[in-house]
Formats: sequence, C-alpha cells, structure tokens
Amino acid sequence: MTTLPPPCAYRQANDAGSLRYGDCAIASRRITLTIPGDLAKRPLIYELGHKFNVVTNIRRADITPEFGWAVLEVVGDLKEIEACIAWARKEGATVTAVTGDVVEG
Amino acid sequence: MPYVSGLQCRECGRAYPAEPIYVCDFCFGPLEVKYDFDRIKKATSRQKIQDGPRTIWRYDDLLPVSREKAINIGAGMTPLLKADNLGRELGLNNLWIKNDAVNPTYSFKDRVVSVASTKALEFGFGTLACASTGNLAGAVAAHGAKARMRTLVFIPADLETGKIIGAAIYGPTVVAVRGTYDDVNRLCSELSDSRHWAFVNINMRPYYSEGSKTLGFEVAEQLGWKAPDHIIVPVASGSLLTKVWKGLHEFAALGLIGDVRTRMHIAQAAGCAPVANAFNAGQTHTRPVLPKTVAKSLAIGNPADGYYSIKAVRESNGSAFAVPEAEVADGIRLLAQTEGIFTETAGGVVISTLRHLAREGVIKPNEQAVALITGNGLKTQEAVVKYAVPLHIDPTVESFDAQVNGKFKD
Repeated sequence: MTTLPPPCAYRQANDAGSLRYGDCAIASRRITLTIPGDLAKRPLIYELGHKFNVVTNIRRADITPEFGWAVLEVVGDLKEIEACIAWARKEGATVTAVTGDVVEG
Repeated sequence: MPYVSGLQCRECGRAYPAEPIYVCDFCFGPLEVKYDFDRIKKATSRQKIQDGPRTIWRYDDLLPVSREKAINIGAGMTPLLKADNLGRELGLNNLWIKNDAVNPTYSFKDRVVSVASTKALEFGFGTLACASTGNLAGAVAAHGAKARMRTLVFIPADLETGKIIGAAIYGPTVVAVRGTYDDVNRLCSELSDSRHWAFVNINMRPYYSEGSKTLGFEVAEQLGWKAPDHIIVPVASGSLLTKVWKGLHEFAALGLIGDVRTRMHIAQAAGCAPVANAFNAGQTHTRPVLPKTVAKSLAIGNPADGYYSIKAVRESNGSAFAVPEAEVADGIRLLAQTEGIFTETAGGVVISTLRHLAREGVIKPNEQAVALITGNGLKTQEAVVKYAVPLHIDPTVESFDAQVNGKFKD
C-alpha cells in the first residue's frame, strides 16, 4: 500500500486538482454520497478512509430517516479514489459529483 | 459588468471575486452572481428596458455582463401568446404560452449560452465547451461560431444523428464519448478542472444560469409589467425554475413590477422525476435516479439545482407533477392542435402538467397562467411519429371521396 502523503500534499492537491507525490498521483475529488436510510447507521465514510488509502473531509451533510447525503472531498491516489467510489456504490450508496449532472439536454 | 459585486456561495454565504469559478472552496456549495442592487435601481427603469434591443440584452443591467460585446444571435423576446383554444379545452380563461421554441437554435438554451459565451470572452477564454445530448449542444455550437471561438461539444457516442447534425453544422469539434452518461459527466468535470476552457455549465455556471432570468423578465414585461398567478416550468437541472423565480423577485425589488404572488409548478416526466418525487414526498433534497424517459432534454438524474427548485416551489406555494410517459406525446399533440405550436417532449411534459393542474383545480379558471415552452418539436419528431398518418389515395376525386367518406363535400 502506498504511504499516505503528508497533510500539506493534500492542500496542494486541492488547489491543483492532482499532483504527484512519490510514486502516486495525488488527486482530489469532490463528491456527494447519497445513502438510503437503512445505510445511515453504518459508518460508511469512516470505512472508506480505513479500507482505502484516502483522506475524507466532510463539508456538509444531513441524515434523515429516509436517506442521508454528505458532500465531501476525497484525496489520495487516483486509483484508490476510484476504487473507494466503486466500493461505496457496491455497498448501496449513490456517488455523484458535487456539481450534479453536467450532461444537459 | 458594472453592477456585479462578485460571487457568493448559495450555502454558506462566503464571498468570492467574479472569476470563472463555480464551487465554494469551503463547503462545496454552488456559487451565484451577486449584484449591487442599489446602483441597478438608479440605472434601470421600465422605459430603459423598453428602449433596449429586442433580445435578452435589453435586461443587461441585471445580467453579469454588458451588452456592448455580447455574443448575440438574437436570443430572447420570444412570443407570449394568449392560448384561448387550449384554455377552452382545459377550462382556463387566462392561459398564455411563452414560446421559446422559436429562439435562434430553437430552444431556450440560446439565452443562457449567449450570456455564458459573452462572459467567457470577457474572461479571455479561447475555447467554449459543453456536454450535451441536444439543445445545449446546438446553442453552444452556434454561439461559439458567432464568437469565433474554438468550440467543443461532448456527446454520448450513441446520440441520434439528427441531434448531432443540430450541433455539428456550426462547425465545432464534436467529441463522441464511448461510455455511459456517468462517464461523460465525469470526463467533462475532469476536463473543466484541468483545461483552460469555458465549459458553459460547469466553470461558467454562475454566469450561464443568469441568462434564464430573462425568461421571467420577459413574461413579466409582456404581461404589462406584472407577474402571473402561475408559471409551469419544465425541470431538468432545476436551474431554469430557480432563475425565473429569482428574476421575478429582482424585478419586484427594483419596483419594476408589484409583489410576486406567482405559484411555480414543476413539470417532469415520470421516467426521470427526482425533483417532483422529492417535492411530493415532502423532502428537501433529491435522490439521484437513472433517467428512463422519452423527454430526453429533461433527463438529468442528479439535478444540480434540485434542492433550490424545491425550495422555490415551496416558497411560492406551488406544486410538482410527474407526467406519465405515455402522456408526453399527447401534450405535444394537444398544444399543436389547439394553438399551432409544435413543441418538443419537454413542452409535452409542460402541457400535460398544465392539464393535470387544471383538472385538479390547482389553477382556477380565471387565474393567469403561463406555460413555458422551451424547445422546438422538430428536435424530437420521433416521439410523435404515431400522429403522422396521412390518407393514401389514388389520383382521382372518387378515390379521395371514398377515403374521406363524404367529409369534405362542400
């Protein structure tokens, strides 16, 4: 597993979108996680940070009995970010860009 | 841009300079243009607007860029028509159709793209871009040509040829992406972060979306400087509805019209109705859906302005309806056969929603209602092919009479 870069690298990634640190390309993705109500009890974001070599930073969130959503930044190696997003989807979360769909009719 | 004071986050309120940025660094909320209304109030008036050009640019005091170097192919000041025949059919005596289907590239997108492309040039961008399956692609390609900018239009690789032609004819680079809509979404988000391009509805979104206010401005001006009792709006991302609502309130704040008591109504198709579903379930936020609808121009499963459009409709005491898919084409037919206006599937959704609202008594017979028709029917002919049933006859009067069974004897 790639060693996690120091915190300053994440700030640079945030500004630049992506950069290299050692052997990995540091990227940051701003996503919205939407989860059905029954998944809200599970510490999904905590699991993301532990199963994968990424740093998660929640900016806004709300949980209701019907469903929950969280707007967060995910920083790390690009492949790890893609893997964690795929995993979250497999676990039942909807993962979308914070901007919403950009393909318009 | 004499009256723009900057950008502001719609969630946390943080202020930003007026640059090509669209997301708050702190909370990732969307950014919106802020104006100096004290100065606008002194500068604008009904007379000044009426003396302006017969395009969206008559309202440039309330737009984020001046009309002096506008990329203008004639968007706006589309007809607002009294719909007596349709009204009679639905039991409504004061029904109006705002026909944006006759904009230069045949949809309301000309409004937003005219503003976005003008602002992009002001920012010094050399490339205009978008991701689209139809109307936006055509508008961006046309305005890019007029602006003499390099233009890229990203489309899903399986897009119908007719829609591709509608953009390609203006000479952009059309990039057909092999993959899902999700893939196109993700790719374009990544490109907008890494290239110095003006993606009209990504990094230019705060400016782009302001163009939609002009629909609301025009409705108010054309009704004699007043807001109607009801506006029925087709909802894709939700941006149009929120900006029409915002535009009416801006007019009222400037004293150009009286108080706004308009009820806003969301019109979506059942196959992709995240906003209507959330509204009717009493929720504040939308849940992403996988679009499966004949109304392709409304097929946004994760609407960027879903939360804000729900908020606006609740504030207005409005409503939301998800039209059954089978009724979309009938809405197109009804409008065409009563008012002679051929709209695309989004318009069919609006008319079917209007019919529902009239039947349910949400719109009373004498209340003034405006239905927004945002795109032209020639773009979605495949949805109404079942109505193309000519009579086939031999070249004789007898054959004709036999077919029509004496119907046209006079």
